[in-house]
Amino acid sequence: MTGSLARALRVALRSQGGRTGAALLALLALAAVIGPWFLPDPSSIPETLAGPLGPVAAHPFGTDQLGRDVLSRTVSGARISLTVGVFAVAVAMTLGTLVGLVAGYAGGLLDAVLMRLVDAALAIPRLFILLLLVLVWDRIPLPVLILVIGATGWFSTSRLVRGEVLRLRGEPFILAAEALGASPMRIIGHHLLPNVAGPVIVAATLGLGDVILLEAGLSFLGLGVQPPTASWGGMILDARPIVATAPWAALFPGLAIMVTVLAANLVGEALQSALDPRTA
Amino acid sequence: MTFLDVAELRVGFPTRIGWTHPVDGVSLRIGRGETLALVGASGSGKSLTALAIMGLLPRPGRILSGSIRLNGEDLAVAPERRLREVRGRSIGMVFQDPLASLNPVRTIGDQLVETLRAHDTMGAGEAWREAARLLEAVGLPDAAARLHAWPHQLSGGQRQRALIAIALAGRPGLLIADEPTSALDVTIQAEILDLLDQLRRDQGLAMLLITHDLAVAATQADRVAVMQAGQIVESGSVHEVLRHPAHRYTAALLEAVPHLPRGLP
Repeated sequence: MTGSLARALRVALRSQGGRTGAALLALLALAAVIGPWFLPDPSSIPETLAGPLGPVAAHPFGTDQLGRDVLSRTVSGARISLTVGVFAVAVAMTLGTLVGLVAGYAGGLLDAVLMRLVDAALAIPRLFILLLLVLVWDRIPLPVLILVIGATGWFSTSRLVRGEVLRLRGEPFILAAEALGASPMRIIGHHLLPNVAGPVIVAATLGLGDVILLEAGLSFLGLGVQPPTASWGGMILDARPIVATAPWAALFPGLAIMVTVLAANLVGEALQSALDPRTA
Repeated sequence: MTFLDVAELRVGFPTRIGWTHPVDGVSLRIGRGETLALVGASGSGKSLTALAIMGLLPRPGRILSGSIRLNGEDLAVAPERRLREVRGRSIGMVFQDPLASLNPVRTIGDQLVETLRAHDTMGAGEAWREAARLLEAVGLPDAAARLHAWPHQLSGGQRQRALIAIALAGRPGLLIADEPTSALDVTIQAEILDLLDQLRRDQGLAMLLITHDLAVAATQADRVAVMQAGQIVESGSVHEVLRHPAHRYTAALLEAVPHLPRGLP
């Protein structure tokens, strides 16, 4: 990784918000990875149906109306949410960076066509595109859900990257590289890409929160991750009929969503100010 | 022996009211081991002449007529593919602002090795050894350690030395230096000019030195060409042109050089 990026990361982790956010995200990821070894099966339903139980020692977050442990479902939902979030953001950032680099460096007609397409795509609300795509599948497989969310999330990133490239194109070191016989591919890969990495990483961290909210929203509408797999949005959907009598079934997945999005945004904002020369 | 032979070069930029010609019928010749200084005020077309030779004119400018013969081959009509081989390989270029001309997020060694390997099939280990040797050849102290330095960690003079090493990595026959010392301290200027001169002699480089500084031209060049409004108004040996300017514009440039006032302690 490049030196200025490593420096920005260090600066970001020194700030209070950045440290808190990174710690929360690390804790969530750790819980998602090792949690299932220690917790009861998230989809196991007890033979004698006890109805929703309030938080007790055996079930710290309580159980839902089918008697399933809310803690283990929340932890297993973290797996889904973080997986969808990380991979969908990776897809979106790759597409956005690629389109932005090509449009910005090539210029001319290609740039004009790509950016008008992005304008058009940005004019349609993302949720509508997603709903339309998701409705095609009856039970949408997770990889498809990730691809669909990623493929609808790169438009603003491509604009961001293109803007950076336009600024960089005027820098003498790009002309100097061209004067050394560097090919367009080399200019894009070796000279432009490392210089746009910073803003892209900020966009990715901030985008993570959006994607997790989006996935929760889709699952809440019953269109995202399908039962019996636990997802935060799906858990809140399931808990709807009992929300007055057993609020914990909806409260904990809701809190999980809030904490994750907050943590991602804290890290993103810390990185953003660390990369901004006026504050760093 | 003429290495670079530019004849009647004309560069045009389209505007709303027709074409403008910032380079308008320029002819230059430089032999191996020879330095030609191209002097003139800002906007006279010096840098565009250099960029035209490199085939790197900013859009939408283009070469309208004339020829650029490098070792006999006309670059004015060469395809982009061929020009990419020529850049760095046959022609090296050094720019004015040494900090801005280095990629800020890559180390000196990275940028040097990239250029070495772009033009030769060279293993990574060999390229890094060659890079250290090149940095030593341009007089960078502690060359091996500097390979891992970031551009912002070097001084202005050290950066320009590194850039000269990068420009010469492909062993070009022609070096174009566009205001190579204008962004440097006066004390560093002389060091860099000496280095360029030594490299020219050692490697038999043909050198096109672009400068607005007549003192630089006088000390460095064998011959001088004076440019004004896209045309070469006067050219000849340093002595002829700077001691006995025939053209009004050259005389005006000479008069514009500030002198220390008499009676200064």
